[in-house]
Amino acid sequence: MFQRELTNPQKFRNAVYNIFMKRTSTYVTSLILAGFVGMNVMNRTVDGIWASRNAGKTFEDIHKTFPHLEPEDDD
Amino acid sequence: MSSLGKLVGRGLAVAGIGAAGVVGYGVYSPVYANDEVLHPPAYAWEHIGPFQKFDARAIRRGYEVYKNVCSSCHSMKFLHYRNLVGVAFTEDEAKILAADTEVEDGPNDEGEMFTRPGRLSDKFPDPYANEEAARYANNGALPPDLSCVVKAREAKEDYIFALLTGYRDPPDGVVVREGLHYNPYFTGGGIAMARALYDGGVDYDDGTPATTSQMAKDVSVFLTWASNPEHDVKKQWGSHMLMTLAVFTPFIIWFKRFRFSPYKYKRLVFRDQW
Repeated sequence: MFQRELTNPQKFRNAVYNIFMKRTSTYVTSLILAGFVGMNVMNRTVDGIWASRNAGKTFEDIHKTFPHLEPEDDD
Repeated sequence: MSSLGKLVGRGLAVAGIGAAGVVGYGVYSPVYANDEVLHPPAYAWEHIGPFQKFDARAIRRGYEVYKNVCSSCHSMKFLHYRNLVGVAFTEDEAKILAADTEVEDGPNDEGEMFTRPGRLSDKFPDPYANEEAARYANNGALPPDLSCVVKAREAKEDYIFALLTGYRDPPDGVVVREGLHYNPYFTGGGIAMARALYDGGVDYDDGTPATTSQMAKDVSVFLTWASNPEHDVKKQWGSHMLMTLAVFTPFIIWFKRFRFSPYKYKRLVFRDQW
């Protein structure tokens, strides 16, 4: 049977299917790895937004303005 | 009739009804003319907003105001010194703060109660031994515990700030009975607490000038943190949750329609015969 040549999106989808989804073992593995990567990216993005919008207000920055409390010396 | 168009149309209709409900609630909630109280304005706190945490410096300054001004009458029985660690003070600093107080402990091996310096695990000290002592020292009025006071007042921290800065002479014709002080933000106008914050009342560790409004702002933020210690973590996890939902929701919608597509295009025809 003769067939038209595949378009680029079709080629891409075929490649993704053949590499990741043909066997359940590779599918599940790639899902878990994508989960790790995705969670990492999302955590870094969200925490980055929070850090930039709260710069200077957090507890980590407190000793830039406050001196360390010293115990009072009782003589 | 595109099915995607129908879906988008329905989504917009629901969103429109929801938005109308929110606007109606905000614009049309009633303020009665015979309310005997002035409602505080909405101040621009630094922790308001979906991506804002508490200002840790304000919490620390607010603790200093509470310790030096408020703790002589108001208890904070549900706060421990360990609650301050990682929020406004390091562990060593909190230990120093705790050690400044005397705590009754015991009984010891001889069966006697003894006093010892405070530890991280101790609560904030109570200025009075019991409610009767508190009332006796304050003209019969009980200074409320401040651990959850911001949660317990309808206008939250706006009320605390307005109250603390709201002391003024009563307007002509308004008489406040002996022993009470005029404050328009307190229901009825007469509050048993005298004005407590005056310029220069506290020496801040970071050198901030201690004006009345600065002290009121810092102590309000401190009390808001005390009522809502989970505020920062809750909001941040909220961001994570919404981001995850935003990523997964279009996929879930598509996947459901994909799985239902055979049933959506199927048509059952009932023939007119037995």
